[in-house]
Amino acid sequence: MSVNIDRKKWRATEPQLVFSQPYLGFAHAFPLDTAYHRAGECEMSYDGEWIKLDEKITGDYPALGRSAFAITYGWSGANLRCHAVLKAPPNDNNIYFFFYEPFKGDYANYQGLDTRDGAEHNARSRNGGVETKTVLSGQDWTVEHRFGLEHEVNQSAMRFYIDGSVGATHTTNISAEPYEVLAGEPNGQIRTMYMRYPAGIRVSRSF
Amino acid sequence: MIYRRILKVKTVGSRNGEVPLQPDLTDFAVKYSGINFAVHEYNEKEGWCVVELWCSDHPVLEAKHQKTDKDLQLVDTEPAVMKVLTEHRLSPKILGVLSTSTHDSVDEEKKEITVRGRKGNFLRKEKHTTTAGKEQDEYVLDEG
Repeated sequence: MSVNIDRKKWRATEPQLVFSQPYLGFAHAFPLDTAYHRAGECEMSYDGEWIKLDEKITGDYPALGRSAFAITYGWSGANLRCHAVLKAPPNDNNIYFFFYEPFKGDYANYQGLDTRDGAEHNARSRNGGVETKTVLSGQDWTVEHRFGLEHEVNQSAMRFYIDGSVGATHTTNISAEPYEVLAGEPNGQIRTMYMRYPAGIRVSRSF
Repeated sequence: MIYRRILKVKTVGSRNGEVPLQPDLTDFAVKYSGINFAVHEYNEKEGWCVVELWCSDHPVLEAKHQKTDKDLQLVDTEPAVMKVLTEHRLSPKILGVLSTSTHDSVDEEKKEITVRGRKGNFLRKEKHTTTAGKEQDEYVLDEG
């Protein structure tokens, strides 16, 4: 399932680099305009500003993704840095907001920001099923935030960004590339997720 | 056991600048592998933030990642560290959690678990749902 988005507009309105540490190489934008879902009761729409992912049944696990392939970048010695602007009104409980997985559903190697454990806001890194979780205090993700993830290609660190600042850094249980970039999974709940578009996801490679 | 330490640290970068706002801890991952942290507060105007470090010496962790309070104290010597704090209003009761959904063997009575050949105790077992909707057992190894 995909929505009709003007790719030319996306390219033209590409936002300023948020994580623009000096680039010697290149950066690309990949829209997350496809919903992964296993049942048919999930709708996606676009109002000119926000992509709305509307999950209508429990027990489905859709997410916004790139619909293409997991990103490999180790060949270049680069880190994978992405961001997306998301919100989850009216409550932000039990949601995988923004995350990397080698493929959708490979939770053993998940890296991301979520509220899976109820009202707790977490940075979470998993490597082969072993997990490091850091609890982030003072958060409200019902309003929009720019979430960012940066994976060190040598698995030495995972940095979690919120609104252009580091919210947490992990040095343990970092899994290996490649990664698919995913956003807005409601963890089996009936609810609606919003992702700002086109000023949303950006995949950058830096050296 | 989980070890924690709160530091007031100078920052580098900015929220809308070329470099993201962050604690000025150069090569943190290289020098302090095994230590994780959360940032509780930024004061962008004055150029500082409050960082809470945490680590664990749980035997299921890779040996190079098993760290203690002594290792956390080494971060104090970083030039950007302004002050060691004893508390912060946003410091949570539980900051860090280690867990696993994989194991070589588990003894639920003795609460012992072996993961990739490394044996240790676990605190409790929880049921978690993965991003694919699959329910699985998650063994909490350490938290604090």
